[in-house]
Amino acid sequence: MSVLSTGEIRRRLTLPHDDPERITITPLLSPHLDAGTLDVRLGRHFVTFRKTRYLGVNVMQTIRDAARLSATGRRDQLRIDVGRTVERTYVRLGDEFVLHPYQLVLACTLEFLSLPADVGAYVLSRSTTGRLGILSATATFIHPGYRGVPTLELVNTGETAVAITPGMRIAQLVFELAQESEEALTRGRYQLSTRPEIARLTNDPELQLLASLDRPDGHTSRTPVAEA
Amino acid sequence: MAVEYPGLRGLPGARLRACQELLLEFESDASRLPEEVSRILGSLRAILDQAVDRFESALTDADPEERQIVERSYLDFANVMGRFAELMTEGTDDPYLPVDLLPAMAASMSRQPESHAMLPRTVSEAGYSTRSHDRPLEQVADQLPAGPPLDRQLLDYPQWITFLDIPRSFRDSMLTHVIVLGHELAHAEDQFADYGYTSPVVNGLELGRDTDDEIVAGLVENWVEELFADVAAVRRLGPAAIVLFAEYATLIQVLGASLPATLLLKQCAEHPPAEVRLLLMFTELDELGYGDLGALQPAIDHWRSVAAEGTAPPPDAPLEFKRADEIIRSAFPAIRAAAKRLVSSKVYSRAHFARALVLAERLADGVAPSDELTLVAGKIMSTGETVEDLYTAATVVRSSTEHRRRLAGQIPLPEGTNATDIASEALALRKLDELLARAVEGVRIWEDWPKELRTA
Repeated sequence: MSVLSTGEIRRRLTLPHDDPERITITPLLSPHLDAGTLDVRLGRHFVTFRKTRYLGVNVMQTIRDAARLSATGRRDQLRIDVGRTVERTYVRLGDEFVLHPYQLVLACTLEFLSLPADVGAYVLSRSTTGRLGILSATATFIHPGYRGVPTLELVNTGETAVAITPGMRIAQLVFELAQESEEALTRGRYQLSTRPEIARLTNDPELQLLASLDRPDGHTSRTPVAEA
Repeated sequence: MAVEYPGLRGLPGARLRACQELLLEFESDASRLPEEVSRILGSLRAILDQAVDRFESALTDADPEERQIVERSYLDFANVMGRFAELMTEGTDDPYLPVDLLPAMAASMSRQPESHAMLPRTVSEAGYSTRSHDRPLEQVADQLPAGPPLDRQLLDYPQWITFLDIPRSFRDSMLTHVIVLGHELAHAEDQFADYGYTSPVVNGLELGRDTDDEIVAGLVENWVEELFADVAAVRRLGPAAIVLFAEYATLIQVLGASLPATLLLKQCAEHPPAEVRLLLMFTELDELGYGDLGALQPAIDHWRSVAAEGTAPPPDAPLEFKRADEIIRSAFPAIRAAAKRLVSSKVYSRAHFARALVLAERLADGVAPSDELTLVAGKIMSTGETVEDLYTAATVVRSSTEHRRRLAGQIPLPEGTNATDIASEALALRKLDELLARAVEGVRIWEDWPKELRTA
């Protein structure tokens, strides 16, 4: 893997739409392209967690609840439960979203991103927002062939609240050439996202197998914080 | 605001404060509402604030008899405000309301007087509709205590509000909102043309006036309004308007009557049979001359054959329906002429359709295009035009098996399924709605982006 240069990013951004090497970013607003990085902006949709509605995250229990509800034809119930534990917020350009100390919020980029099969990207925090205490990504790699609006896991690590606004440059992308382009043919579970996506734990076959193992303590609390 | 005055503690005060609280509570969610709604809510609240001050002042200086008159006026005012506040807020606090759609719709309209406002909202009813409400405050403005500048402020408030009702069950189906974008918008323009008191189309055509049968006259009046809006939808959105109308009409008939998924010659007091409507829409489409429609052609051919079944009234229709049917068929040319005259002079052109076909390829590849603004002869497209093209492009993807399967190939499908399965195609259609919503959002972002920051 090698990092794409500024010139190569610019070249790929301006290729015809049907060119397999094209990188598409839409809408492309005042692009800041520098030293092999492209800044992305904060989107207008946010997902926050309603702490008063659940006790905490229990990965295994979420998987088991999904399996149990699926078996009884009530999988929609899980979706309803999840809907009660998160809140989706829309903020228009020019308005603010206040990120409180130590709060995690799922946000997204303002731009829709389409990567070719031979290019992946890393999402990195910008130093400017980092100095305010805001880290803009924890799951940093975007797979080759990804299409959608990447979810940003924003955390305010500082001790004071910070008001952020859609349209501000929040993170930067570093593009890397992928040597095995066949990987792009495997569609990730967050492919074609158009808003911040909450965790889809129940789509993970490994977790499903782990959750099917017997549990000694018989714990049954439900913690629906992941989408069915 | 001095809320301690005793007069504000009685029924009028409680009612008025309830209105204020309703608006305040609603405004806290207003960031996700169309700007038009937020603006009107702010305006309403300002009027309420000022009204309370004015009434307090009037109550302080009044003798008992005058106080009774003022309090009665106050009660009337509060009741009207309360009714209207409820009307305003019904259904509009829905986070899934397509907040980006309104500016596109406004851009599509040929005229929208400043005194008029148009608001989309979700409702519990099953069908799309257009409902207009005149400004109720005008009725009580004369009863308010004298003094500046409240009356003038009331005049600044939109005098005529048209609600474009979106069924809650279809709120996430961006593509069916084309019914609003084409058909319902024409109703709004019809109403705007004469402040909604009468339909200029109905009045202008004077159909059914020579019959002494009130039932027939009523049917003709309703049907003419609908057919006028159908023609306007074709002029505004081209062939996509026909395909989406036909699919929606089929769906409604299936939902309503548990019938097989096909159109049947079926009319009601509000609408003529769908086949008749299709027949007229195709007449208009042929007149506009689009030529070959590419990937949309098979769908158009299918619905054209369905429309051919509508060349005669339903054999089992009641006599009044047959008479109304006969009258409106003879009026097809007049209805089309009215649509041409009253609705936007802009027609969805072949050049736009060609651009939509290009955008359809992007959507089928899983991209939500939103800033390809210069595809028509180097001309920068307006927001409304771009959104119209996106709706057409999404219709192409929806109607074309090849495009649907290509999009399905972009989606992480459940294990054991592939892109050619019916279930996978259904997932693709759901994703298509999301991509369309995102593309419209992208256009809106572009529109709102400060011009000083834009780079070529």
